[in-house]
Amino acid sequence: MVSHLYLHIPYCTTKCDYCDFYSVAGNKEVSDEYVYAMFEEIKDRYNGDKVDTVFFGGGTPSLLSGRQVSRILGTLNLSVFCEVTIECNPETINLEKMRAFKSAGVNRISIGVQSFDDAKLKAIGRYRACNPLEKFDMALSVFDNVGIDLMYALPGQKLSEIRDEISRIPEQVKHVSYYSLTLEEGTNFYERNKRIHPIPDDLQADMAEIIVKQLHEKGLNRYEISNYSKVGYECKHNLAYWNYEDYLGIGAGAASTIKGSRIENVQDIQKYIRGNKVASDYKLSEEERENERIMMGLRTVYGILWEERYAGVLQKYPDLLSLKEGRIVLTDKGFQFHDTIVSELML
Amino acid sequence: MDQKYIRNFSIIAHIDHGKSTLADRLLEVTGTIDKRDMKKQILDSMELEQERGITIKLQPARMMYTAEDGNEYMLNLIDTPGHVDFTYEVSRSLAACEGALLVVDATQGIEAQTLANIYLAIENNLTILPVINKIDLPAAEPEKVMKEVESILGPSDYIPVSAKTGEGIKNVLEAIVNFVPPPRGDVNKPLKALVFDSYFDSYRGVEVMIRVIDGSIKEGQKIKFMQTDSEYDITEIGYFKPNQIKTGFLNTGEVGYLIGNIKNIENVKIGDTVTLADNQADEALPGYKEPQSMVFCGLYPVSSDDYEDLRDALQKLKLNDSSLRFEPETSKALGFGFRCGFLGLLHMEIIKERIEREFNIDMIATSPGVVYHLTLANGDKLIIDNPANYPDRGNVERIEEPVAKANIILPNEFVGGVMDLCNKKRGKLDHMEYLTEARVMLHYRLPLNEIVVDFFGQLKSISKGYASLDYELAGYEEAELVKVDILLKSEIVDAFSFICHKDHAYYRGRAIVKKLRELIPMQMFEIPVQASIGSKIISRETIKAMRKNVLAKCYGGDISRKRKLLEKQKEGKKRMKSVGSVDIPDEAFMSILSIEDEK
Repeated sequence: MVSHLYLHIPYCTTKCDYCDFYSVAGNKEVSDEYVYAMFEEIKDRYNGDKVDTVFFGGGTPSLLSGRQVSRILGTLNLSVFCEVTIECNPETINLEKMRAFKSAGVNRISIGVQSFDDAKLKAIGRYRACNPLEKFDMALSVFDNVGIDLMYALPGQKLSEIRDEISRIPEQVKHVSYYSLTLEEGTNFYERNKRIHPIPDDLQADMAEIIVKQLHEKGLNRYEISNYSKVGYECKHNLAYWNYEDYLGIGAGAASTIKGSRIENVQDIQKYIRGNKVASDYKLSEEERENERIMMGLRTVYGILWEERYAGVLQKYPDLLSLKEGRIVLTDKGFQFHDTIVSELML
Repeated sequence: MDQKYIRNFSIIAHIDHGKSTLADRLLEVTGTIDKRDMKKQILDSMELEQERGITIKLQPARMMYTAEDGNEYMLNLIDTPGHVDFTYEVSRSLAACEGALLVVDATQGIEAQTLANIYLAIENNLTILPVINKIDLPAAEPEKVMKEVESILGPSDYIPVSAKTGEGIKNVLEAIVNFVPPPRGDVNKPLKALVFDSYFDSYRGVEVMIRVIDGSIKEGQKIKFMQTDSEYDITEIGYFKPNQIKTGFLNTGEVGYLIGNIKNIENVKIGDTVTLADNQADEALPGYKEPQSMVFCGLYPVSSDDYEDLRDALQKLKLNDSSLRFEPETSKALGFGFRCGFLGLLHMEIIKERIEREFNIDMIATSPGVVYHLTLANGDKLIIDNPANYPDRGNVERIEEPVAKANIILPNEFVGGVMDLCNKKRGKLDHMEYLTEARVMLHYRLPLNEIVVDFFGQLKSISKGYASLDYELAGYEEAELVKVDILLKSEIVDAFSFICHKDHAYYRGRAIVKKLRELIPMQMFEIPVQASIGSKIISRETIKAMRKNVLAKCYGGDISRKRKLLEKQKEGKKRMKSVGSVDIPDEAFMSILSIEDEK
């Protein structure tokens, strides 16, 4: 039974330099052909089970019209408390759209601000011609559960600027995703080898500490390496990934994990529309699944169930790992060394 | 066959000068091997040799040739390894011959190692026939190359050939028949046969390659190896074509193999004399020497699970190579491994490569070193082949190091650069001579240790590959040497310790410390990297503590890729040795082999 659905909308107006998701720039809207292809895929792969979470990700899912969102959600059997999230680029939303999304069934939005400082944004190839705070007012007038996406370790960023960014997060925001800028393979940064001066690890670590602390002061508690929320407002959809539950990914470039298989869709809108939807269907080995379970589970404050074989690593890194109620979890410092710990715990 | 129709000869040539191709051609022209059975360079049997194009040993081969005088001759080709490490083996192979073809590339000229082998041939009173190869190439300058040859041999004739096209091959065969003297042995004397090579076959035991000097030998006879004092019954005897052909006997002057259920290669030493147990020769053939290890290094399995496999591999290699020495040793840094002794650097490289390639064992080799003679304050003498065993400095009264006589042949434009290199390496120029107007031979005395550590690579790079080197051990000399230790987090890592001249200690210590700072990844804590002589720190760098190692995002679409990233990190960690709490990547242990001197 799959109760988590991810819907990938690989359309953007422009491509940001740091982005490593599949998306195609130059679009002001999402074509009906694509939405229709998604229906087809849903018809083929979704068996009508009750769905607990739906997540529209991208790309820029807020390029979808209210009607498109409504038609997609209409094909699904949503449970009463189903969390339905849509990621929004502030440029693409207005009050009308917010209302349309809401009446379509969306109950959680996450606004991709990345930074309140336009110059910092420009440095990472993202342009903005609106005041993001106005968009928050708009969103908050419609939705209760509004989140914000931010980035730190932006080129030239100083520690004091982080404090400033955090102070500008509206009080009513329930959820914060705060990522450090990462140079990923396949991004414009990486491919075009644009000259950016990465923030040294020392400073990044200091920034992370400040973020954790300041957000906590605002009632936003870290529950995952890069995610913070007010009590009860954790993102259920993302928690499903971290709990290593099955999920069905719909759309070009989406991935699914179902019954131990990883299915990856083609990263090509045209092929997807023509019906060649799946690029690879790979049966994970038991070892790979165990490794993924550890890798995902340790990202959150809930950690993973204790097993005897973790004892050596726990002993080796007493300040990075702790044992809580039969679960092994990373400490605040430990989150900064997630990769080190996981690679040691992996089979 | 009547002795006067036998000719025993070898081929002396530099790597790539066409020895194997020439040998192939001789086999083909004499009809020893059908053309359709020829694969290129058939005599190079070891995979490694064929791949690297270097010939360690060719198989011996008997060829029957009807000369222009109408008589049929038996020509025995006995090969010599073309490398300085195997000088002793070369000298024994040459001692089994009366003549040698000196093959020189018409576009290159004589190289230092060839020269060393020419001198060995002269010492063994061989008739040397210069063969200038590759005359088919546009850049061939046989006259110029002959000038070099004549500067060594005196005025001589030469045979121009192209082993590739086959041009001149007949002339080579005629020259062997006409100029190489027949064997001089006495068939009526008690058996004396020279062991010039041996090979271990897992089914048949040791196959011994011999040249009968006096007397004759038959299947069923009981033989005795005079140096090792061991006796065996011959179960099979024959010659090479180059595959083995059973004959049941070998007569005076002939070359072949014998098998006698010999399980232990230690009993079959190159240069030993085979005689009959019940009719012994009065004395052994001259020239026998025990093989001597000149270069030592530690070999450690990357994974400690491979220790037994490594031991097996070394044992198997030793079956064929009695000059390989090894004994177990432990290192605090690397765990259980073996200290191995080699004839020289190439020998070491070959063994290392064969272990990795044929036995598939990942290894760490420590920096190669030589044998030092120490005199302690209390008068005791100590022999050290591993810097880790170096005693406390205060106790060492005197230290002597092996010194080599090195000959370097190079185009004169590179003389300046090479002399600088030799100076840096503490070389003393003995003299210099011009082989031709454009080519020079430098005679140096160089500490062996300096040759062992990255000398050859630098020589090649300074001379753009044109310089060639040959060296031989010339005794021990006192020197002001010190042991340098490398410390990580204040702990000595024994595998990094090395012995060098005190004037070099500072620079080399600093270079290694710098290199280690680059190679050792950041860890959870700060790591001071230091070089010291005794308790005195001579250099320091710091590897800062890692502050973060985390992927910012991981959602449904990222899982496969991020798992693979982490699995890679885990693999990377497996390829590290932890010393104390510090993880050191394998390549760090190798990298100190190639620290360049700076001044």
